[in-house]
Amino acid sequence: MANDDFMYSLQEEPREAFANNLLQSLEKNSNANSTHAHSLKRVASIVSIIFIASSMLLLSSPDVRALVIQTLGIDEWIAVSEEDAQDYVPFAIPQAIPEGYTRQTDWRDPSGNQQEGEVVVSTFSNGVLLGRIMWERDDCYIMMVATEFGGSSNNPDAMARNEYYAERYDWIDLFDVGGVRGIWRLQTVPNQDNDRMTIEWKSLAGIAYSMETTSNCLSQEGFITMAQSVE
Amino acid sequence: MSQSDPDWDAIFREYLPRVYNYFLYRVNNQQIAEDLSSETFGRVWANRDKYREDIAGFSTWLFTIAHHVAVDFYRKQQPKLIAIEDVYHLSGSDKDTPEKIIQAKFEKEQLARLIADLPEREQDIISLKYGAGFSHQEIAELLSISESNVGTIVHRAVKQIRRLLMQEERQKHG
Repeated sequence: MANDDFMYSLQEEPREAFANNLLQSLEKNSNANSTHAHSLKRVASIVSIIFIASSMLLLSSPDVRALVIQTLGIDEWIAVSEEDAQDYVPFAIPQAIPEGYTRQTDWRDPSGNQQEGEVVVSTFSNGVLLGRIMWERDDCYIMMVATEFGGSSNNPDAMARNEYYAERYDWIDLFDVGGVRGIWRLQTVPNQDNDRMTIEWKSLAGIAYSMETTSNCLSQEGFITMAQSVE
Repeated sequence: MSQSDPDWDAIFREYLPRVYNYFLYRVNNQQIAEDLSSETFGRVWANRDKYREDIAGFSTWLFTIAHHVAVDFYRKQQPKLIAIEDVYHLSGSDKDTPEKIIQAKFEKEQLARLIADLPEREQDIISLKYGAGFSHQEIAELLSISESNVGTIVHRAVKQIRRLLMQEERQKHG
């Protein structure tokens, strides 16, 4: 590009007083919070367990489900409303079926056989496959796969989360991570036959999650267009 | 990062100017840029022990938060005009003549206004590049778009701004 030095001319140093005040404020908050961190964490864990148990019973009711979506905490995760989820990771899981597509589900049973009809939980060497949804139109398939890395089928907490996801069928909630809501990464990786979008995020418990979307007939641009279309 | 004991003072010193300038390019207002910078570092600080470097680079994590702070800000804002006098304070060294200071201020105002007129997506990318000092590759990773796409948007936006600046300059002297 030709000389674009002029574009930097708006830069300026933050005011020193502002920087000092901010740093002092952060340090002050940090000291105040550290004394309560452990007790708060413990309370949060207990509340989470109660909510997990309750949710299994309540989720069958659409009205109650909406409430649970707002308040459910699972292993330090805080579910946010579907509307908020759309704001932060709008293309992770389309809330509405893109025009012209029909929703199908595709999953593998414990023996690895491909099945259709319901999302189920299965495990693999690196973690737990939470489920997958396939979209189809005119023999063009888009598959979305959610995975929990570092999860274990022997871990009760992980299983509770997985059952929760499976129960939800389309696991449309995304999560507020301690108010950050942003620890995710999306990559588009074009290659000869398939394009792929990978979205990664993690829980406060440090468990990494990923969602991978593949298609056998959409270009990279097509993926982005489709993703943006559900924003 | 949570496993080690990072030098947060050093991180703060390195990133505050970049975050602040990112917001300055986005909102064209010093006070708001300071407020949004404070909000960003507040969130970062509150969650600093939860950051994992195997998930994302630190600057990516930090600017993802900054990006969301900006999104939150614009969502809450009703469209309003900001007085051009409030956009940038009069800056300059003691050696500058009043004419030079006024000229510099005028040029900054022009540039700020033209950036503000860009579509929001382009504003964001321009702010990340020229305010926060990110490379095209880093912006591509942060916004999940291709590097070539970033290059195209930057090229187009700068070209447009340059053209409008020249046009205004010609009108001024014409």
